[in-house]
Amino acid sequence: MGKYIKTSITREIAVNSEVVEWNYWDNEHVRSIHEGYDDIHILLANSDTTMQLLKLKIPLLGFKINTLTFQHRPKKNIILVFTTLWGALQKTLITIVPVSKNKTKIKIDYEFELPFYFSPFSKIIVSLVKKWNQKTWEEDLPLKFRRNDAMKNNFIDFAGIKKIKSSEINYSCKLPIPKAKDTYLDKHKFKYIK
Amino acid sequence: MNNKFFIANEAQLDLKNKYKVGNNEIGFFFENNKLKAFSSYCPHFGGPLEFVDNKEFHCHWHGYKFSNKGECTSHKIKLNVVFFKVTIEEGRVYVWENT
Repeated sequence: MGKYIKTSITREIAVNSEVVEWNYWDNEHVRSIHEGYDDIHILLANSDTTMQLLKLKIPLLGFKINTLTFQHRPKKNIILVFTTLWGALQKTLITIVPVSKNKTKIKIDYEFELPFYFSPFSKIIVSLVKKWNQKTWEEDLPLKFRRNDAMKNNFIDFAGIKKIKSSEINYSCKLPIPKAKDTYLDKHKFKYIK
Repeated sequence: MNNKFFIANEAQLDLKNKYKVGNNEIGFFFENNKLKAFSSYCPHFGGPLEFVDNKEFHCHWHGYKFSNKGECTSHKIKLNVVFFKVTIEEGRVYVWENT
């Protein structure tokens, strides 16, 4: 008999909600910013969904494992993530709440359906999830603060800031996040091409 | 319209530093003994652009690289580092707004 467990994490950050949302959908930074991930490939991406193949580094055990992740935006500021790992099913609901122009709250609700062999370790799993979340949160902080600073300073993706004095623009996170055509993200043989 | 911005005295200019000027952040490097100024916001998504090994620009966020002329060398894409004109007047370093 399996076991169902859930846990939630709430965070607050002094950046615009569009930057928070961008960070969740910008897959290209995962490999270079997050220590826990060895590789990532985008198998499918459209205006509200991505299917990612992630290669995770398993702490202490020293090996890597593939996991498929389905990420969906049912509506603005809501992200739904489904993934499986070693027979465990994980659902994550991320709710992004704009508090002000430069403040955002984030609620992350994790749910797990564990197979019987993981059931005795449910408390350890919750603890590991919180540690993993804390680590990735801290790794992302400099990126989010700088991105927020860039957007406030009239940064335009794939162009930069060409002026020294310029007025602020309103940035909106549009999916899929644009990327160069030859990026490693798109090179997996399972990639879906229309 | 005055569109030049004082950065530092020439003797105090620190190439490891980035200078916040107006809405931008400016870095400096030498090419053939000539001082060059660039926006340190990577033109891809705004990551921290560094001039490394005295030859090229790197951004560690997404692994983008650019030649010392500012052209993207890591990806097949037309994407360029933003440069600014630099002048040194009576030992004072200025950058100029692109017009």
